[in-house]
Amino acid sequence: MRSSSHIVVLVAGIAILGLLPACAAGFGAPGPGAAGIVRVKGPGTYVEPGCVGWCRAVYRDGYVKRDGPGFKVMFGTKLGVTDGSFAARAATLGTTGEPHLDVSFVPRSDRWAVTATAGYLFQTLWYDDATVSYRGLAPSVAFHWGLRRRVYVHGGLGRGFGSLVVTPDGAEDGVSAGAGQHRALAGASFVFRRTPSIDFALRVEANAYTTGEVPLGTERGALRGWGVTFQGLLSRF
Amino acid sequence: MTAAARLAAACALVAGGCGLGVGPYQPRRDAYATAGGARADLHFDEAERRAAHQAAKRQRVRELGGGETPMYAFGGGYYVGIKQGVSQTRAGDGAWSARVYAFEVHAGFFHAVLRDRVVLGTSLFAVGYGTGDRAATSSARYVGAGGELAVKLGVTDSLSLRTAGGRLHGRATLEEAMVEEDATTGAWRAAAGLDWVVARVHGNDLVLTTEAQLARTGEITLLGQPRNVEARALLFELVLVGI
Repeated sequence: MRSSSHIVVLVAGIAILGLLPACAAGFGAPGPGAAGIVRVKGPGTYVEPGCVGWCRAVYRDGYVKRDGPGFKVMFGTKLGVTDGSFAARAATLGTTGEPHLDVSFVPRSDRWAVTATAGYLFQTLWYDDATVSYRGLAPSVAFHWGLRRRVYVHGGLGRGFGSLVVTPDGAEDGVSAGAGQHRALAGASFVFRRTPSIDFALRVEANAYTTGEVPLGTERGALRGWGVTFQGLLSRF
Repeated sequence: MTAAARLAAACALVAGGCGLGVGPYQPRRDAYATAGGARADLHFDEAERRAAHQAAKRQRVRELGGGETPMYAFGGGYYVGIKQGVSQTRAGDGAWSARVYAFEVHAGFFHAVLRDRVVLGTSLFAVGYGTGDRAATSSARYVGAGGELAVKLGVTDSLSLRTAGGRLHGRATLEEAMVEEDATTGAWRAAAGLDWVVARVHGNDLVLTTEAQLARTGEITLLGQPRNVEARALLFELVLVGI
């Protein structure tokens, strides 16, 4: 019984802990589709002429504006799973995480946006006899295209400047070597909640990656695979 | 039960069984994700809220690709939470186990249709049935994760009926006479329940969800015999829904 209880606690813990950190927060809508939305900054409140009660708010100059073009900033962490392989080893499941800082430019047309990301990539694959991990700086650039006001898709390319480590089970230190990584990214974002002061969106992103050939101990090969990450995006205006 | 176990159980009861969401969790609540502004004095009045709500829904903006779309109003919403309650399990035609604690972690997306009379939804979940039954000498457990589709029908402004069906994948474990064996297998699950708006807190709904579940795996060989593992559960959740 005990092992089963532990599994339930583990599953629940992963689910809860997985939901909480996989978020990002920033200023300004990070993608297309938000221009023209009435935004409130400060004590001014959006108003509907003729309304009473909660609607009886006043547009105050300097506090209420229309969302529009410009640079947006967001920081947070992507979390997800990956299916990858190293050298002659079979593909196996692992985890991926990437704390990142995004700077986006949304033009006046509001149909597209470009995001530059500076991230730090953590990828881990678990084998029966060892753990294979990749860590390093991971800049990327993505192009976003607005399908609707609340839905936009994106695709991009990235690089990884880090090291590959193979750590045998039971060993404290592994064998490591520097390895560049090429990444391709594609995903979609969906704005669930839009108010005069916030947008809350969910972003799902698929990635594919490969490193160059790297000699590590008795093995030589590349780390290749693909994965999926998800993230909640909270934008403040 | 040790003091630590009691403390853990108390923490689980407090932290578990709660959920948070935004949008049309309940039919007939006009639950569109809008914002009509907020009063500085935090005074709440239902009539005022409804007026603000409708006003916010009337704000429109040019849609990408042509046409118009509501600026804030949106018939979809999402929620995350933890259901908890009791479950029983059995293998084959054996007796149901003792009632033991069960819970489910879930996240879902909902959308109101048919003028807010019906809410359709989909959820991903991880669930454990039949855990913690330390007294039984023979027991079955099932731990898995999966997804489901749900339909909610509004009965009154504060009460709705919900049914859901889905598929999950996990591990069934059978223990007999101190011998334990497990197998990975899929299972179908059906659920039905009631959602009741018990209170409104500053314009947000506090919804008590109760749900009966039945899960059944395909036929698997455990301890030398082919059999199904079944689980049934009664779970509840208190969901705070921003609308």
